[in-house]
This record gives sequence, C-alpha cells and structure tokens, in this order.
Amino acid sequence: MKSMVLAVLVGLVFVGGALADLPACFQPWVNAVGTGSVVKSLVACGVPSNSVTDLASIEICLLANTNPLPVAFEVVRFLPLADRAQFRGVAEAFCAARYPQQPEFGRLIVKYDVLQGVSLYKAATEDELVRYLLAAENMRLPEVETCKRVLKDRAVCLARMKLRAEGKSFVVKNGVNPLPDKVLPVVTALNAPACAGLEDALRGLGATVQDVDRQALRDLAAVWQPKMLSGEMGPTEAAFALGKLAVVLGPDAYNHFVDVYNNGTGAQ
Amino acid sequence: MRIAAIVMGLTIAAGAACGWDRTSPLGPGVEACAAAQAVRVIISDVDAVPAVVGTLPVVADVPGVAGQTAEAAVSGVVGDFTSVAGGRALTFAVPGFAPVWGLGCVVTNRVRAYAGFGGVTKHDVDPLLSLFDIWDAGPLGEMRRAANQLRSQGNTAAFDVAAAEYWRAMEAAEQRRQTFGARGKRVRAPVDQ
Repeated sequence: MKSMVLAVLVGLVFVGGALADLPACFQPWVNAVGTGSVVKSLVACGVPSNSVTDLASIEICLLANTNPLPVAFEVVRFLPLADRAQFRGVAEAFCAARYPQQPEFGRLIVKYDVLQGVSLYKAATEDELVRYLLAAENMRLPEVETCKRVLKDRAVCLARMKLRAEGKSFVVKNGVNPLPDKVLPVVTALNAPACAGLEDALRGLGATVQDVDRQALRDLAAVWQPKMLSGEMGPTEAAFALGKLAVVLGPDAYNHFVDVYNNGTGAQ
Repeated sequence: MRIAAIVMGLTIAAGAACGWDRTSPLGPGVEACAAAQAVRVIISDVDAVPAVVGTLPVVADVPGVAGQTAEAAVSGVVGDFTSVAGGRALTFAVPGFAPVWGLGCVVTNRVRAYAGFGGVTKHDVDPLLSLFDIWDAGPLGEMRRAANQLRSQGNTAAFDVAAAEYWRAMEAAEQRRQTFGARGKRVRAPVDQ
C-alpha cells in the first residue's frame, strides 16, 4: 500500500515537472486556461503527450496535420512570432472554415492577428481598413463602429503629419483650429451612405487608398433589409449583418430602419 | 429558470377594412402591408402578468405567410399549436419571450416580444483636436471632456469659454514641451561657440 502511494506521488511529481516545462511561449495561454487544458489541446492536435514540452516537435506535428482542428489555430497564436509564418496554411484553412461569409475579415485576421500577433485595427493599412469596411460580407455593428473610429483616428494622425509638414507649429491661430477642417471630409464620408467619398477623403490626407466598388455590398444589403423586416432573417443572423447594413444606409436611414423594425412606425 | 408562456389568440381578417389601424408608413419594402392580413395577438405571461394585447400585422412579402391560414402562418415557427374557433384562432406556447418575430410581424403599440436592433450615432469631429495626443485622464483630457460635454448639451457660450481655457492650457503645455521635451527632460539650449 505504501509503495502504491509512493508511486502515485512520484508520478504526480513527474507529470507536474513535465507540465511545468511547457514551452515558455505558451505561458500566457497557461495563465488563461491552465496547464492541463493546454496539454489537452496539444494532444488533440496530434502532439504525443511525451512531446508537449518540446516546441520543435509541437511545430512538426502541427505542420504534419493536413486537416487542422480549430484548436491548432489556438496553438499557432501562442507560438513565437518568428515561427508563425510557416503556419499560414493552417490559419487560412481555419479562418476559411470559421468565417466562411467573411473572407476579408479572415484574411486580415490571418495576416495580423495570427502571423504578426497584433490587432488588425492597429496594424492594418488605411487601404485594408476601407476594403474591410466596404467588403460585401457580414460584419457586426460594434466592429463597424470600431473600424470607423479607427479610420477617423488615422485621419487625425495623417492631418497632424500634414500640418507639421506644412510647418505649422501649433493648431489654434487667431481662434481657428485647422485640424478638424482637415479631418472633416473623412468624417463626412464615414457618415455618408456606403461611406461615399471615403477613399478620396483619405487620399486627400496623404493615405494610399484604392477605390472600392460598393455595388456588391449594396446588392447584399438590398437583399438583407426585407429579409430582416419580414423575419426571414432572424435576430441572431441579422446581428451579423446589421453593421454592413448600417454602412450602406448611413446613420439616418439606418436609424429609420431600426425604428421600423423595433416599433413598426418609422417615426424618428 | 423562468418559463413563461405566450398564449396567442389570432384573429385573422383580410385587408385594411378589418381593423388595420396603421397610419404611418412602414418604410421601404413593407408598403405592401396595407394589403396584407392583420393578426390580432393576445400575449399573456402565465407567471403573473395580466394579458397584454398587441396587434401584429403580417408582412405581405413573407413567403408562405400572406394569404395563408393562421395554421400556415405559425407552422414551423412556434412548434405545436392548437387550432381553435374553427381554424380562425390558434393557441400555442413558446418559452419566455421567444421571438414571435418569426411570424414575419412588426409589433405595434410598443408590445415587444423580441430584442430590438440598436441604432447608431453619427461620427463627429472633435473641435478640440490638437497637434499631439493628450492623455484622456490628465488635466488637459479632463478639460477637453468637460468642454465637449457642454457642446453636446448645446451650451455654446459655456463651450466657448471652456474651449478658450483649454487652448490656453494647451499652449502652456506646448511651451513646456519645447522647454522640457516630450519626456519631461529639459532640452539644453545650444552652446555658443
């Protein structure tokens, strides 16, 4: 009996030691979900339980898996940044399956969130943000508002750079602040239906932005709107599309639509 | 878990002549409602609340709903139901406030049985933008926030005063930056040679 207890204790110490030696890059993951969950995820990815402490073995197993599970995507997100590029295929396969109706979002998530470890809203170029905002794909309302806010912040930065380049040392001279005037065209475009003129406004501040064709998004919104009103598109499904509907309609028309949906009156 | 039942008695009548009391337009895509059926719905919460009466017009362009019988309208939406009054009314139960929205209805007289959509506000330009970012929780940030609050309340005169004070503080901050640098260290004056 004593020897059994001893054996169990030795086993626990051994396992505990092995778990404690997980690669250091997984530490944030361990902090979030616990060592046991991390080991379980690695094993689910095909990593032998006796190899979970070896980063090279983990990476070989992930690359060997031709049909990566969602958990493989999580593992990749915790690998050292320098090692992530080789897992582009894993990340793209996962995002294509996870976000089938949001290819542009999936592309940005892979490029920034997964491969570079930064938020797409922080790292994406103005051109990419505009394409993301105007892509004919689902987007929730909070994401649309975040995207618009980030574009406005970028516009402020660009306007500041422009003013500095023009040799203006301080903003307010004789009570006139030129900075809001420079940002205003971008904000006006963000409030316009389908963000009309956004590309021009950003280019006016020095950003490199290509024109985006909005027709596909308009067509999609034209299909969504009656489906939402009729109930054919339920609230949950609609929530994923509302953001883009708000982009296409602009705040005034969108709020009118919301009032029609919520109250049936259309009264403002 | 709170389980409520919504008992609906539907009385279906055809067209505007049968109790259609909508006076305002419904907006694009739903003008056809005037020609649609009207469905009178009684919602009661069996927990305690007395019955609430609402009127749900069925939107005309819902496939398989307009012009259909009450059974057809709710079939597949609310699960089991019982046809009463010779097929002119139905009673059925759904958990809690499950969306009767599935009927393709717009709820009138403010009786809501589903989660509404959220609206959006327009983006605007902060008139107190300056050449460098300021810390929102710092003294300048607080001044800016207070001034913008006055602006949002429409108090233009008070905003002008607060904005002037803000710009004075901003100029002082800019002068400090020129003297001490962005990191608060004194910038040495060039030495004459």
